[in-house]
Amino acid sequence: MGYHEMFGFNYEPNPFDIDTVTLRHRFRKAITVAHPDRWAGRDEGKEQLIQTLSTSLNNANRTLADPLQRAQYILTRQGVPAQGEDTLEDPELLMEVMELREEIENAESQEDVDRVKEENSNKMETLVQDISGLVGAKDWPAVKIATTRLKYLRGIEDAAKAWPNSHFDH
Amino acid sequence: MYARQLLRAGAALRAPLARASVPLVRTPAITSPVFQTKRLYHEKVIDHYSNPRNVGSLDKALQDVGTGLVGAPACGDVMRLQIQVDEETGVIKDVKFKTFGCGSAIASSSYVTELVKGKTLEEALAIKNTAIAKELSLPPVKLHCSMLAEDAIKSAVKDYRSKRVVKKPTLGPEAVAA
Repeated sequence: MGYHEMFGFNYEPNPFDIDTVTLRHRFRKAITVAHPDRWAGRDEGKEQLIQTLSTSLNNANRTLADPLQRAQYILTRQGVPAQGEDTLEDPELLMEVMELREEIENAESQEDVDRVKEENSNKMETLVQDISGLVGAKDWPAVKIATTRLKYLRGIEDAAKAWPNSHFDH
Repeated sequence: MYARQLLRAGAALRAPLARASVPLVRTPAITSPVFQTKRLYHEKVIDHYSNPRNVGSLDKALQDVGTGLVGAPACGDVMRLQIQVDEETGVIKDVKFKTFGCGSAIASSSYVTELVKGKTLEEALAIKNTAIAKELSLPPVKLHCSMLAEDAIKSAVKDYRSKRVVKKPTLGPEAVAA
């Protein structure tokens, strides 16, 4: 079963357009029933099953709730080869990212960082809307490019949040 | 996952301290607890990470400077590597890098700057990521970091060479003047 189907969302026509409020309600309802504690000690077979179900529900919820993970999931489900370990040579994007990451690193006040953060979150908002349109149009190569960009913008956001400490990617 | 949580926890602990005491002086990140509690990285990686060689930038507008800019889209890493070439001998006389990414990516680029300094462009192009990975004992999941460093060198050499190709005007008044 796909993640959308687990929460009763239609995959078509646009799997990216998820009402996150509805998702939250449905997840809570489902997890209440499937919570391992509720089934603990009752029946070993059932307990195991509930454990698995609850893990799946959590994964599905986390994936669908986050635009970046949702876009990555849709790409995988569409059979678009995942953004592998190939080196990216997109000078425009990389230059932009490098500039903003350096701006954060060299920032001297919280205000400097907040300015970058706000500009960045506006960009992300626009990009998420773009991705919705591209998914609707089933333009998978373009969805992939936009998703990579979103990944980098997320990195900028994380770095801004971590300031004045360095942000660790992994 | 574990490393990330640890680091987050570490960052959260340090953050209020750093802001309260010396707001304008940034604490170096090398005190990250992950290196002390759990040896996730090889010591050579830690060495390059905590004491990176040749960090910085060169003027990319200079004719003898080549700039390589590459990224690892899966991780969201970005790496800039610049070389300054002696135009007579074709030897790389200076090199600088800046990487935003994980410890392995930073260490790979730091190590590669040490490797290429004093080498000719041909020698620099011959550097393989496997040599970087071996030196730093990178685990399989981090091999792409060394590939990124190899690609950064290639990209920098390519940029330098593209500047060498003098585009002679074939039309217009400049062509006559030249």
